[in-house]
Amino acid sequence: MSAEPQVGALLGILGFVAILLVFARIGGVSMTYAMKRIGMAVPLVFAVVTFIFILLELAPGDASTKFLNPDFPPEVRQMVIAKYGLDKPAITRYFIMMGNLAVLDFGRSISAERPVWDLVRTALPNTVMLSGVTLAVAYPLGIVLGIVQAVRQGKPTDTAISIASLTFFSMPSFWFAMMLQLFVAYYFSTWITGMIDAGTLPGFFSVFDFDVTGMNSNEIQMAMAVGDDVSWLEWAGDVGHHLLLPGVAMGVAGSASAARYMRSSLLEVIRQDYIRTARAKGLSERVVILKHAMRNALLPIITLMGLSIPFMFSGSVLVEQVFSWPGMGQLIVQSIFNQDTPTIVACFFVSTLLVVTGNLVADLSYAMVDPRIRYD
Amino acid sequence: MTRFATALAALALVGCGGSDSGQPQGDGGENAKRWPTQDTLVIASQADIGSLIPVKPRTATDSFIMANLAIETIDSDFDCSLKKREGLAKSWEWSDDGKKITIKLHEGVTWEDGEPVTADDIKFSYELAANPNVASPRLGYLEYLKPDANPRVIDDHTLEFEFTRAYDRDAQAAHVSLEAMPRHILGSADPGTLEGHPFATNPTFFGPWRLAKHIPNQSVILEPNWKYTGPEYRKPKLDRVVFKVIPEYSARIIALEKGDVDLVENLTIADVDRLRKEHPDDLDIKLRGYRAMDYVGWNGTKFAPFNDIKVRQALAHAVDRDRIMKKILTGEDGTLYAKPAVGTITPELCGVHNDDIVPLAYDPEKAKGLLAEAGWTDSDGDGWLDKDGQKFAFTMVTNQGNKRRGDTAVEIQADLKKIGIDMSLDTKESNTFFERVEHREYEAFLAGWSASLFIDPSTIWGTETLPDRPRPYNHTLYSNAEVDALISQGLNTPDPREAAPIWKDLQAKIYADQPYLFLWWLNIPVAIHKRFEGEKINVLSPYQDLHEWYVPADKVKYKR
Amino acid sequence: MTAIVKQERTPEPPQTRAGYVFPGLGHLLVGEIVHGVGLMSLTGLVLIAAVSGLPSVVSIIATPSGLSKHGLIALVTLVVSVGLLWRTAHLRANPRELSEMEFNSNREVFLRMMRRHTTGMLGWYGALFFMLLTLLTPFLAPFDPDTIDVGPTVLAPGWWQHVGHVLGFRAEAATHGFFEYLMGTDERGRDVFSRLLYGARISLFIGFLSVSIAATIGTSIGAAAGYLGGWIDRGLMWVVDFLLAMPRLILLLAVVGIVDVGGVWRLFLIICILALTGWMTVARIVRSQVLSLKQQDFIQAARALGYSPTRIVFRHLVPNAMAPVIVYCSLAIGGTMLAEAGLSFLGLGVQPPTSTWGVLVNEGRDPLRQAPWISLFPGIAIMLAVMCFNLVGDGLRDALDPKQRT
Repeated sequence: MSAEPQVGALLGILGFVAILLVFARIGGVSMTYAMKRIGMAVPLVFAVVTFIFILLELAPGDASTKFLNPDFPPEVRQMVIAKYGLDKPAITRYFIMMGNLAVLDFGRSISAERPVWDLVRTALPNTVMLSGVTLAVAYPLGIVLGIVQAVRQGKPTDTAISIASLTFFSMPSFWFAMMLQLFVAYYFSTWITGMIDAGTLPGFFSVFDFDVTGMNSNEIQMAMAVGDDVSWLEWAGDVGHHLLLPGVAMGVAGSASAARYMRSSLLEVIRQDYIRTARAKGLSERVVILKHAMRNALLPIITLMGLSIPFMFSGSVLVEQVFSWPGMGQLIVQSIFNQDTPTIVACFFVSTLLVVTGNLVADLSYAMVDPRIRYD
Repeated sequence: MTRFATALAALALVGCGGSDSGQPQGDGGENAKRWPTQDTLVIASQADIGSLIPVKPRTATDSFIMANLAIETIDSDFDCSLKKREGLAKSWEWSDDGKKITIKLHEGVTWEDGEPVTADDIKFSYELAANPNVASPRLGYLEYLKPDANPRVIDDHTLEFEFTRAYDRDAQAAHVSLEAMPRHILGSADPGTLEGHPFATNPTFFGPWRLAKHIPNQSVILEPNWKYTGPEYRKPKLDRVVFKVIPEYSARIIALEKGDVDLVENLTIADVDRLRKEHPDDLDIKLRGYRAMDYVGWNGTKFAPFNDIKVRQALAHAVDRDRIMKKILTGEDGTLYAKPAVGTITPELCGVHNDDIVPLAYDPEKAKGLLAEAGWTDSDGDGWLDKDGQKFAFTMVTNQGNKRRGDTAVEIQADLKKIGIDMSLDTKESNTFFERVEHREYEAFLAGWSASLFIDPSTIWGTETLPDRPRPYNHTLYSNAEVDALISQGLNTPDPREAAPIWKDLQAKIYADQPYLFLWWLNIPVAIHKRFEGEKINVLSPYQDLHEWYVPADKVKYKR
Repeated sequence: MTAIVKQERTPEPPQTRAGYVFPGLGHLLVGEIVHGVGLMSLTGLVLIAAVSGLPSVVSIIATPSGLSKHGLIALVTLVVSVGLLWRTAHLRANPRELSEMEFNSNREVFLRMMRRHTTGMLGWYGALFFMLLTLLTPFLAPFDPDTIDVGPTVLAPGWWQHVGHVLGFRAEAATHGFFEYLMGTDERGRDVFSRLLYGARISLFIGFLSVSIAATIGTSIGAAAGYLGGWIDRGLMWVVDFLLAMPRLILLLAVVGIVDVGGVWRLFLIICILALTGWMTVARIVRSQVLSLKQQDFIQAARALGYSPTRIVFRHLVPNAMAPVIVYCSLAIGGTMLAEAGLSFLGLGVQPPTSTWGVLVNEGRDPLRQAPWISLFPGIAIMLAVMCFNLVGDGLRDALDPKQRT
């Protein structure tokens, strides 16, 4: 295997760890603790990989039974099987795989016949972008809504937001995505463009004309293809526009749960004595809520955010299918159907890494928000 | 989205002070060579390209795209049979015994990087295809080529192929037409990992189109190869061709209706009806022709009654094919998008397809009679047929994600129930399904063939008596010595006209045996935007000869 | 919960006999809106089932040999629910009987809290409605769910064109009745409404069964970890962390995609896998409960009395740790149903002819543009059912939370 993918992945992971450490440093978390936590993640990741490998081995057949062209003469057949090491006993393959994973070599995909890293490299950033942006928008939004609800407890605003968030929380994301695609990206958009064409609406309303699928509009892609200058702003605007519907489909549930948790946690905090004291001191309600109550009320939300990374990942698998978002979703589903062990293992490796990081970040942020918590 | 992107573009122009406004694209030096082109064709593609390496295509889309990036040595078009025409080869000549072909290439054709395309590049393709390490799906091309030094390079633009025997000349011509590959680029590549080579998704070819950009899992954008040096008439008339990857069927349809894509293949009949009604002004429906066939395979080794020809005939009489076709393959206006199948040779191959075979008609009484003759009667009065205490019950497997087959399976189930046969259904994920079928782990299966346009029935119907032929697709273990003899005879007859009667005979023999429940050939509908002219959508490809497609000046949608 | 609450005598609720006329009416008249509306809709459902099921009931009585399993269940449900509804009316008419029934103070407080919890009760009645719906399906479904061609293929519901008219999308004029094919037909001419009703059974069955299994596993493991402590605790909690580190849906996909079983085994595989990936949170909850309960006097007393650990765990610890588990489970039913739907969406759900709401949504994927109703309604059904279970869960949490008792 060429060294290039390993170097790329290694740099990525090192960068990742560095960012975490910087993060911990800023948060005033002890380095030893941070290192220890990061170190503990490694056996977990390898356990997950082992588990998946055993699962795949227990299943009947392997990729060769699904992939080998029946036309191939026996010698070609043997060659292909040997190329992917499928002729070796499972235990040997396991150790080879683990050895390779230890140096971040994911091997070659059997179904796509190319390095797994190539596949992951193109898909992963898109998924991270989709779920990252969604997470970054959905949770703060949910937190704000939760605060509003808590402040207006029992008032119509509270009830309205409660009902809305419960509805969104209970919706299957893929179904919501399908409905958004049909009713917003088709019916609503064609209605808007019809009105723009008729001159009823100013051209600016074309922001409501959503594309059905993909990450970029035809125009941007074509311009990129012929080497026209596509400015960064233009590209980002276009991607953002395409990200909106899948982001909404994935994010509403996150917003809703953040709002639910924020509301109850803030209400809990507000009942505490020190808030009463703060109010008694004559501080404005704004200061009481935002300065005094918020910090403590945020703690459970941070855990929630850390824990919700696997849900985001699962959600993106479904929503990506609907919106043809070129992310990990397709890769995971296809590799499972193809019983393509190296790719499945790589997908689990990456997703576990993300989950572990999510928990880690949550832990560290916990310490940052609440000075009483000290990890040593 | 058109408008939003335009608005964004305007914004960006303001943002960067209009630095790129009014400038012609690309570097000025090449502009002189450009010929006028206009508008873009956006094709909705189900999957991304896998590999654009001629000896290693992964999907049908790969081959379709490659056909435009490179020119086959002897190119094909289709009209009743494969029509051979000049490609990279200017002319060719057969030896008298049909075992040798000498090919003259066009001179002056160059790769995109300026290197000349030579006979040696073609030889290079054949070397790679022969290399077991490559595991090329094109290995079949080499089957009857003499193994040593084939092709023989005579000079830079002349080469010679030698066959071990003469067979169908169209097939022979196709087998010498593997696209050339640049030895100066790929010569040093490891043959075992070719698909991982950058060439696979960013190739250098010599055809009228070039791959301008590949955005993984999003789109493949072709533009005219401005350095194209081949025959003049192949110069593209369109600015660009974009393959937009949209795996979801419903999303492809919505994108088509919104105008984001111009061409969608494999429409459902219901959508054809709807599009005709709702978009009469902007969309056209074209038919690709009969290339795909649906059938039910019976496995006698897993369910013994299928070994009895009477049972198989009875099953054919029991399924009301006309009703099913009327229900799921007929449009509202009565157009039938299918044709009853009587074999694996497509009706598109006129003159070879046996039109005299009368498909077994729906006749449940006759079916019951035949079954009774085979010993299957409802002796215990429970409504299901039985014999020796065994109930006539079996499972038919089919693959997931194909609505038409799912529907068909349910209809067949209903028809069989009427005569007392209990068929249950099992839908498997596609890969698992094909694995099962290949290993014959099924009682009955519903699947399809995409017909080869060269006739070689041996892969599906051949048996042990054809020792030199692999029979990888004989999933039902069909075996008939007479059929084997006819296959041998047909395959050794180079002149298609002489072979035709043999093939007709073969079809009749196989149909009489009913190894399959032959269902129908599908005429696959394709929707395309009306502004295109000169378009060619046929059995060979849903976008054949893209260089001939154009848009009249007054209808241009995408302006550069 | 063990919190001590100041006992106050329940003021006797007002008496009304209107419930005898139509169960729920009495509640409505005395101002108990949620109960009134909830009970009335349940009554309505039972009435509709009784009327539309009358022919089949008659035929069952006439020919007992033709009695099907589903018909029998529906018949029994009908009789039982009529009895229960009558009982609610009776209790409203004799409120004294109601207050005498509740002797256990803790339970009384809980029930009172729950009964006052508007949204919780809304969810409760909704959940009851769905359950009743699944049991009464044979009487309610206008068509057999799997019979093809009960109507024209991809027929819009009769009322669709009117909605289209208002919202401005194109819909063809219907020639059939307004409520005929209430939710349209699918591509094989099957009635979407009937399929939805039959699909409800499997969806709810999967939700309930897998959550029950998960709760059992989680409780046992959590109690063992919490009570035994030491390396057993560490080991078990490591397994919990390990399983939580894998995205559930992807794990489900991997298992169901790789383990290739068909038919009814697929259904059980899905239930088992959902259970095996859903017990971790329960284990965590039970463990932390057990850890704090372990130190309390009554457990120390039980130990001093020489009770066996099994007895202490199952008779004393677990019952006291159950409250948050119940809350979690009612919330998890919704989550499990969503997970199953996601699996079905990727084509790995139960196999036809069995279908769930997720399978139904998936069936509407290709004809989405042509016939949105095929997946629209099953999706709404999932949403409503999940919402009801979430409401119940929230209500239970509030009712069981001593801090909320003012």
